[in-house]
Amino acid sequence: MLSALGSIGVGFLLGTSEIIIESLPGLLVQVPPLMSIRGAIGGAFSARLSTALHLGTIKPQLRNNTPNFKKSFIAIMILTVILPVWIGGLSYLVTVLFNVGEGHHLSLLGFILIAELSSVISGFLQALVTIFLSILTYRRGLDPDMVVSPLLYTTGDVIGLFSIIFVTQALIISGVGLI
Amino acid sequence: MEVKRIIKEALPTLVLASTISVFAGFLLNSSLTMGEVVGILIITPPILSIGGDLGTTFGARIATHLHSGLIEPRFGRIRLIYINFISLFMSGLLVSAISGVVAYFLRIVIDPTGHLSLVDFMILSLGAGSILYVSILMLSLFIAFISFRRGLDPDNMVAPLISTTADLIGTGMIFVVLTFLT
Repeated sequence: MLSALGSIGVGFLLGTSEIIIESLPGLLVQVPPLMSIRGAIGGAFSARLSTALHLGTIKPQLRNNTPNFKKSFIAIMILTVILPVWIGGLSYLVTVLFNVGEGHHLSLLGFILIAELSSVISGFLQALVTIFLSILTYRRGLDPDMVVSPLLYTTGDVIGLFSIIFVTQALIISGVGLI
Repeated sequence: MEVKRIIKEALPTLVLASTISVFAGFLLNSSLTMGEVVGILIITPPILSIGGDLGTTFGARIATHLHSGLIEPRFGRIRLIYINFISLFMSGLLVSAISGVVAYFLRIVIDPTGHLSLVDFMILSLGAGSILYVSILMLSLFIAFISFRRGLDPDNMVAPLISTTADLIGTGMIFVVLTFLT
């Protein structure tokens, strides 16, 4: 119920950014995959953090943490950098193959640039929020699995979509040729 | 090297999930060519997310029942599965109906010129929704049974795959229902 309400918020955001979406044909193709990998990577990261906190392989503190903590963080950031290249490339391919926008569509560079930048920004923000919330809930004696993961699946979509709109607007304003 | 192992385990599922999702994005984009843009953009995310939530919840419950030996991985009229299925489906429809109404009023706020009526919104959310919910519930039951029989933990692979498959079926159903509406 809560997450359905959250995604109506996502829909509202999509609805209000209709002008950007219509001015850049093909952009919408990569919106669902970017949002869903945001949720998948974030969910897996929070599950791993929670397990590690319970096992004691990660300490509930922000500074001077274990090598284990750094490794998990590096691993999800690498995934966050690799996947958008695949998503952007594939979205471009689908756009060209199915003739979305009849020849007038986002360029390959535009697809990958928007995907990469928005993914890195939202991925980094989400990782910080996850670390902070997991440590906080664990210190209070709560189970991060019950609190953080459900919260992330809903906020992941909102953060993901916000960063896509933000990056696209910024690129349009800075005059990068997206078409 | 732990970093390598995490990436090796996560990457295939994520690549598959994002590939499925790109086609969902394409279908969503195709729906926009049917005239109304803003309304479709508002109603789509809640339908997809309800579908994904129902599928993953059902899958997780079946997995727990399987692990605790309450049910066996065989298809048939098992009471416990039947009750879970019906109650999740009904709650999905209820939230869908509420989403349809809320989406209609949000559309009026953002774009008063849109032509989809409240009835159209209800047909979209309940019609596309019910087909999506039934198929995603059956699919997650199927995946949970198959993976349990093979000795895999259903909890591991099911969640990301079910939610992206919900995206694909959901956007497809919205496209089909829109075709009938226009």
